[in-house]
Amino acid sequence: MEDLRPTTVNDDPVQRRDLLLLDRAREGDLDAFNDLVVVYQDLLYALVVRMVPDRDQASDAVQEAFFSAYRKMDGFRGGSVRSWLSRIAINAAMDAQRLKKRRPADPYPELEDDTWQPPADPSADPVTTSLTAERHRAINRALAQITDDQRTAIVLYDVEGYDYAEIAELTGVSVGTVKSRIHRGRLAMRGLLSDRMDLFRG
Amino acid sequence: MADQDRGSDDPRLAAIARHALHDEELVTAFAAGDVEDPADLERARAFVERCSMCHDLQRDLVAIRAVTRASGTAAQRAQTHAAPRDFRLSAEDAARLRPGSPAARLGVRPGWRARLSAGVAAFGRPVGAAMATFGVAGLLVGSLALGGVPLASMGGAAASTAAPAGVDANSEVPEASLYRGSYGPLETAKDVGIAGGQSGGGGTTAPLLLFGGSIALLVVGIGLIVVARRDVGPISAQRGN
Repeated sequence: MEDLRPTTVNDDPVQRRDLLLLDRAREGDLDAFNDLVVVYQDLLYALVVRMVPDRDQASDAVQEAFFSAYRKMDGFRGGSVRSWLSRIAINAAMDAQRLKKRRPADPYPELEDDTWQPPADPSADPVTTSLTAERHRAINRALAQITDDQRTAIVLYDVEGYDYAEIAELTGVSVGTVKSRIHRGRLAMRGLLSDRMDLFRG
Repeated sequence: MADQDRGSDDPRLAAIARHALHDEELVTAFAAGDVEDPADLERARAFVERCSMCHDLQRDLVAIRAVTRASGTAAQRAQTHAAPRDFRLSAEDAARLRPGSPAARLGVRPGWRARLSAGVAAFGRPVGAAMATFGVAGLLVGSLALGGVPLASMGGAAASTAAPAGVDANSEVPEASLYRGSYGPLETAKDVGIAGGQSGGGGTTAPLLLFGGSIALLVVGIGLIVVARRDVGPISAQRGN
């Protein structure tokens, strides 16, 4: 599992490249900033679309995230550019969720992000592969139906590997609230999957 | 038979009734390993050990969590799935987002066309509407004048520019002349001559000029409105997405 969490700057060539590009962008080199966009746009979209399961809204949120990063790049205080961009994207995704709350008449279309499946184990038989794919489809569908707060907390904790404290800081709530959102979200998912739990018990 | 069915349901119903009193959130926290208080931990353990439904709940939550964790991080997904659009910033975006930045100063200073276009987009419609209104009013006044109704009869300063053709400045004119402005009757044609002569003795020239000018105003006004409407397109179209 690749980690989006902040890391210390080291001799990692990727981080050095990112910092160089950001420095050039801060000096007015738009091409350098756009190089960063090209490097991270797929990652940020993949992150945001789990939190905002509507492709158009997720795209708008990612675009806003890059706008925000460009505006705020003078405020970058070092560390990992990737983590910095991920945090901005998470904030943009939460803004998109708040916008959605104000227009509840348009629910998220069910299962927008249904295309990606984990790489199949080459040694697995077709039945197992098919079962795994079906499980992931069911999980994605359930995730898309729980509340935005619960989904954000579950995606960040279970999928992206942030810890409770980091999620609390990112979302501006207490650690207890984060835990509660995760627990209630899982409970809600179990309710949504109640007639398909055989898929997971096998 | 019915009694037998009811009898077989009773233990299940009793289990459901008992489970309804159990704290599912506590079991959920227990399944996640998040219960820290020893008393709560003991209570959760008891639920899971003694209640089959709490036991199922814990097992299901663990399974759901495992599948969720394996559903692919953003980094894994990004390796095989590209974003649906290109999020690179245009020079205009850069100038808008950081107006004082070197990129904005060097790259995207708007030219006269852009400035004109922005001006038209901002003020074209109200200015165009005002011009078209004046044009229509001018056309009305001009057509009345050309149609033989003397402007003086309509009163106001316009009267002085609209002495009709064929009026002899030296001839006597009856007191009840048509050339009667709002400032009182003109006694003689001499007075009329003075009034008409101030416009340069235009005769039909003034109404024609008014007529032509009004048409020009109307055309320019309508043109401005049309151009302004064209310039104010949807944001998505302007961004080229």
